[in-house]
Amino acid sequence: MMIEVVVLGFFQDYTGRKNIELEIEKPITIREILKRISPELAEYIESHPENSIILVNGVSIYNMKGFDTRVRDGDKISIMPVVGGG
Amino acid sequence: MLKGGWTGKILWIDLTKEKSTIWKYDPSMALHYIGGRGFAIRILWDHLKPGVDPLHPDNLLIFAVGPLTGFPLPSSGKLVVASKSPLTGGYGDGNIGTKASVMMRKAGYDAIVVEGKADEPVYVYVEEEDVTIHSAKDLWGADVREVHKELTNKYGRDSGILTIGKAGENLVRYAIVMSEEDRAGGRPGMAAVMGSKNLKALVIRGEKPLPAVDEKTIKELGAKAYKDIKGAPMYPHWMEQGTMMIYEWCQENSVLPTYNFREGFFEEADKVTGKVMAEQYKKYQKGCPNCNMPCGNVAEAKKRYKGTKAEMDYENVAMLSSNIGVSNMDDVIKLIREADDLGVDTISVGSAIAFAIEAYKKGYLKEDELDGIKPDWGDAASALDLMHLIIERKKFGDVLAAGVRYASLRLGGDTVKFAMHVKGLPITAYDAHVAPGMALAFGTSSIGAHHKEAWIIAWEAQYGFEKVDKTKVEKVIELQRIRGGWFETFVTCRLPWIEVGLSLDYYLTFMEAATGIKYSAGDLNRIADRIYTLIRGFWIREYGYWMRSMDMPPMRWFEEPLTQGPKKGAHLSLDAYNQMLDTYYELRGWDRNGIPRRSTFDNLGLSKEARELEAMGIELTP
Repeated sequence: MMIEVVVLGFFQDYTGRKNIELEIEKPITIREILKRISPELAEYIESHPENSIILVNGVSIYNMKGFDTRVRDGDKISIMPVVGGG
Repeated sequence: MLKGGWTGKILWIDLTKEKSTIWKYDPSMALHYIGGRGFAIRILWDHLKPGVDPLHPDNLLIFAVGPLTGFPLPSSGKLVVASKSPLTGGYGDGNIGTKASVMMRKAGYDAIVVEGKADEPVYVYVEEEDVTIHSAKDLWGADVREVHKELTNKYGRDSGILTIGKAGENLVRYAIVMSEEDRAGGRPGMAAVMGSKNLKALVIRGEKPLPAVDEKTIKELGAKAYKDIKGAPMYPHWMEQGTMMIYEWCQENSVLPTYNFREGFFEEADKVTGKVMAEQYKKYQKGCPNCNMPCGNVAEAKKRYKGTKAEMDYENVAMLSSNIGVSNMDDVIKLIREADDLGVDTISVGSAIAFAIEAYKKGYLKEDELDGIKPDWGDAASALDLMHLIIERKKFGDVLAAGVRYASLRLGGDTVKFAMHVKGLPITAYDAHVAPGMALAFGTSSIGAHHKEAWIIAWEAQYGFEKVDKTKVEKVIELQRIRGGWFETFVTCRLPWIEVGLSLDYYLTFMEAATGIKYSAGDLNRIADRIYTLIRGFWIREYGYWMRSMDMPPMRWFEEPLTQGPKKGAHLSLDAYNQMLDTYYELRGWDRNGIPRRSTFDNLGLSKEARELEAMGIELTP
């Protein structure tokens, strides 16, 4: 099973790249995904949840089960900081 | 009595009488309106005759700083420029980062007001109490960079210089005030007001000490805050890309304005991102006085316009790239450079070009009306020609120079649905098909559609774009209070807080050290509410009426779903928007037509103003 992860902004400093494909064996939580792509990023996000936006197929995890939201085969995860822009 | 923070003085210049006076204003204005836009709306309400044509000599042009401006505090080199707007007919203002802000303080003023009209082009030189008017005949027609160079040579590099370009001279209604070549402020046509007064530039110098109650604490707090900024996790990324970092974020969230806000997703966005800009085009970065996180990323074109340099901010770039279908960075740099040299707002001119392309392609405009130009999406050369047609006010360019609202009323038909503005001010670079909170922010912004007040979109992505509840409306108001109230009255830049997370608590301590007054967050919010209600009162006074349709974004976002990208099919719901607007009015204490209630005026200490509106025949709900 494959899931697609897109990492934006300064979070890329932790992952080194924007697009990541992850092979998973069974549905796993956002928390586990963060740890797999970068334990440091996982730590930052969990300690600064107000600074991050995590979407599963375009829907914020805060409207699902937060870091316990489970993702499945074919899901697209977007992980980005709460950026400024003006 | 004011102990510090404010100079207590406003310079009033009358260009018709060629005379200036120093006004020691009533300190209660400082206490109840702080400064910046607070002073601007107070002065406009008290001193502008209702119903004046914005381009008439009687209109007032106000440059205002605040009690924190110019101190060694993060990004404090800001100034507000305000007037009755020739673009919207209502209250207009903008802020600009410039040495002129610090110099205004050192010259001893909290604001400079200009009224009247000079017989011939002039510029005004202010050196503390010394105010002189000089001929600007030789500068008339010159572009922004030439004027800046000329006046810098004459008065020195540290002078504060505010100028207009050809757009302002030609009374293009979204001409913008420029400083230091690339800095711009006053989107709702503040430079057209300058042009209407034959005022090409304002030069300010001074050497007076800034008035602080506790200078030592200001220095200490400032040093600590600068350190916090540098240590913020996003600081390196910010320093690399500045506001451009949000370009790919917008694409990812389908909010990147594309093809005149028809779409929120641009298929060629990869070519114009902050990363591409930073890695391939960026030459250096520049900023405002007292800033350690400069946002001005100057990029240089490499091919077609080799050597051309321009400041790449997200708004400029999005409105002159995806919104007109252009993806070549060289072209974007050239379009921005040209707009800055001519002194026209990059956002509004991007909107006008996109509108013209769409109107032409849909048969509302003919080639000969456009002087032979055949505009098309992605065609930067015709976009450049259109920009010149507008600035020169030739053919249909003359209509476009009055803004997309006016142009759509002239053309009629469906053009009204794709004239992307609120209250006449073009929408800035966020497509809101998927973002009802951002749509409400545009709908209720106090100058017409602008993001500087409730820039809610990042919070909204986290909270859930799909939600349309009271919490979201409360957030819009909270952001309006902080961004449109606190920062626009202090007057300092909001970016240290919003971009790298500098704590808001600092500002309460800065205010106390500067003024000796202990303002609480609640006090400042109340002042912000007073300002918002007075500004709304001003719109009503100048229009003579109000209705809720003036607080609505364009119908395109409701009626034409996205056809591209991951959020294909998304659109705003009219019912949901109306529900949010009702909640907004209720929370603000305004009636269901968006007119503040009599009790709201009274509660905010604006009973006199309410009576003035009633005397004009405006019915206020109790």
